[in-house]
Amino acid sequence: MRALAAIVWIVTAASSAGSPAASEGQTASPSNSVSAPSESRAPVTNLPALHGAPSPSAVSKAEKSATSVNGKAEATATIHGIVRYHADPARPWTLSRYYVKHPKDPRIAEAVVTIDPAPTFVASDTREPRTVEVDQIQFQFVPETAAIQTGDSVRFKNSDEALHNVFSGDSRAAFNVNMFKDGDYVHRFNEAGGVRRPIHLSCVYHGSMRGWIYVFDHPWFAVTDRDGAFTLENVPLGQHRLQVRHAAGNLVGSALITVAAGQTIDPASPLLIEIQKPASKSAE
Amino acid sequence: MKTRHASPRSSERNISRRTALRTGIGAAAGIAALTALPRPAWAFPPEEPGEALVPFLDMPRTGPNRLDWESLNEWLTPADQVFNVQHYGIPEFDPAEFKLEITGLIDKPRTFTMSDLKSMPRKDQLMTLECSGNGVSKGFMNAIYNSRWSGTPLAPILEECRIQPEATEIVFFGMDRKVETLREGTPRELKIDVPFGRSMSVSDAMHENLLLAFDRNGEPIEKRNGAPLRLIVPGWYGIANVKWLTRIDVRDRRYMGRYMARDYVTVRGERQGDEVVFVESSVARMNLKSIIARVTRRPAPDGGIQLKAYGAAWDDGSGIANVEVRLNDGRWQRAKLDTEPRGKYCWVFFSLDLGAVPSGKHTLVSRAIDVRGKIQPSADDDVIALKKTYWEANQQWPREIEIEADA
Repeated sequence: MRALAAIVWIVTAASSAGSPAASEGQTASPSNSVSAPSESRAPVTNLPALHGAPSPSAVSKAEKSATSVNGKAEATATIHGIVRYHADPARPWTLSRYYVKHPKDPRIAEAVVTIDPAPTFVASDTREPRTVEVDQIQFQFVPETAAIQTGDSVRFKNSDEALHNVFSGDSRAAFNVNMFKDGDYVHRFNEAGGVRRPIHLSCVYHGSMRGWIYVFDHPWFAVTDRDGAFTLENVPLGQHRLQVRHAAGNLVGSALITVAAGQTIDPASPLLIEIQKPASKSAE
Repeated sequence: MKTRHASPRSSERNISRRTALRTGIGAAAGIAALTALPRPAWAFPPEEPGEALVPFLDMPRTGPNRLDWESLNEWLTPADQVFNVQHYGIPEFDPAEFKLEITGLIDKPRTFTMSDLKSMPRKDQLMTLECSGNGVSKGFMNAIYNSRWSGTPLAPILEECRIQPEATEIVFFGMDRKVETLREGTPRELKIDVPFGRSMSVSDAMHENLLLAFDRNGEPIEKRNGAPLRLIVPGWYGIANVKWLTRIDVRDRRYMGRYMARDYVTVRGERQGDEVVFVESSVARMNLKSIIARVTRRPAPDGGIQLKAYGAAWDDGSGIANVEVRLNDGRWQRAKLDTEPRGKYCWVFFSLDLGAVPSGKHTLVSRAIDVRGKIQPSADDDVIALKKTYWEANQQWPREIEIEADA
């Protein structure tokens, strides 16, 4: 396992019912990055109470992002982060060039980020299921890694001239479908495997073709873009463990964060969190 | 980007080609020194002298257990870039019970355990092994690797068994088995339970460089690559290098198993006067082939962009004389072949400075020329254009790149 490092920016919102606490105006600076709130073990019950008037931008975020549990509006936050690859010279990853922006700027694409264990989540009947497209182009699954929520579907396509196939032998979502050029196959995913057990895709005709579908039973997941960036929205206040995986590189990383009301972090000075390499190969 | 021939490794220079080729136990020390070289760490495109990889257009990402052309930097292929293909699955068996039998038209049938074989004279054989399906499509371009195989030579064992004069054919069987169906769907349909098998003539099998191998690059062969015992046939495609080798059978007539007679059979049209005559032949020796592994760019002194091409060329051991590279519609330019390391049955690395190019799309292609003047064919040459099956795809492989003006 190789290490991932996460730079996590946290932008908070106040709840629609209250406002930032008296500690509003505090900023976290890079100098206290390592021992900053990410390292705190403050239990959730010690969160500052919410008082006063919310700041205008926070309110707009809160109104859009308030989650509802038992009918009550809850304060939530949006987490902006960047995942970086921590290279180990003793164990080079030659294929990292597909994912890592630059060796001197090792932001990494196609990493899957989630909150694990996830906050309490009640599935809503009104959620509109999504359909994500996974194509087969130039003998490759595109995108190679996708993340969806239970109830979402994947539309598999084949834009190549060659005959391909989409195969998954996973008991949670099994299919073996030949895909002629411009073929189309839609599969709805109903069982979640979370960040540790993605669905492996392959093509029975072309052994090098591979892909992954991560299925979550909650909405707090994201896949990093070409700049290694991700966003998690509607994250409830409290302490959370972010788990990060990169299937192609067999990479692991995690970060403990605390989302507190009233806390403002200037995105230009991100909170930096270093992730340590797991000790053993099987450590998850 | 490290160039494979420029770094001053004195131990590399001191290993002459003759040493690398010499068979016998004495060569082991020389070859060991060759492979004890510090393994170059994969270098991302280095900051100095500003050489950066130019990725190929429209090519899939290299997957696991495949040779990664664009990072090609090691003459002996690391284990995590070694492919495996098997048609009857990877067999399950107890390694402790493993035996090699020699049977058939011989005076003295023999059975060997692995410890018997490991106590026999040891020999190393350098060899590049390519799958004969390599190159069938851009999704299967990386099934090739170079190795130092270690084991015991086959020929002395066969000599000791005393092959009888009427023998013409030697068949190599693996532990992998399957129920094959012949003439399926016809009244003469026949199901037979057969081991995987490949054969060759007695004289081919008796060549001094065939090896019963148990190690690769100093480590035991992996299960997926044929552990504990693999036949190594230098200069022949992968299919002839029988994995999980368990029986050698000497016969007086042609063996017509599936992988000699029905699959791995190349159907090729040959011009005979005005006619095209189609001939079917069994896949055997490796064809002359080369490929541009990667292209790099660096700033040119005058502010432009300079390209360099790196690649590999190989054949059946006849000998590569030259490799030429063409940029777009330009002339064929002779590439620089690495002088070290070398092996008769191994790929040779080449490189060529292509000079300054304008931004935009470019096509590069290499072709190998052997010591007899044979030239690696293009897709339009008869030998490829009239080939109706996908094996033995040794045609020139053009590479497409795009250069942006911004470095």
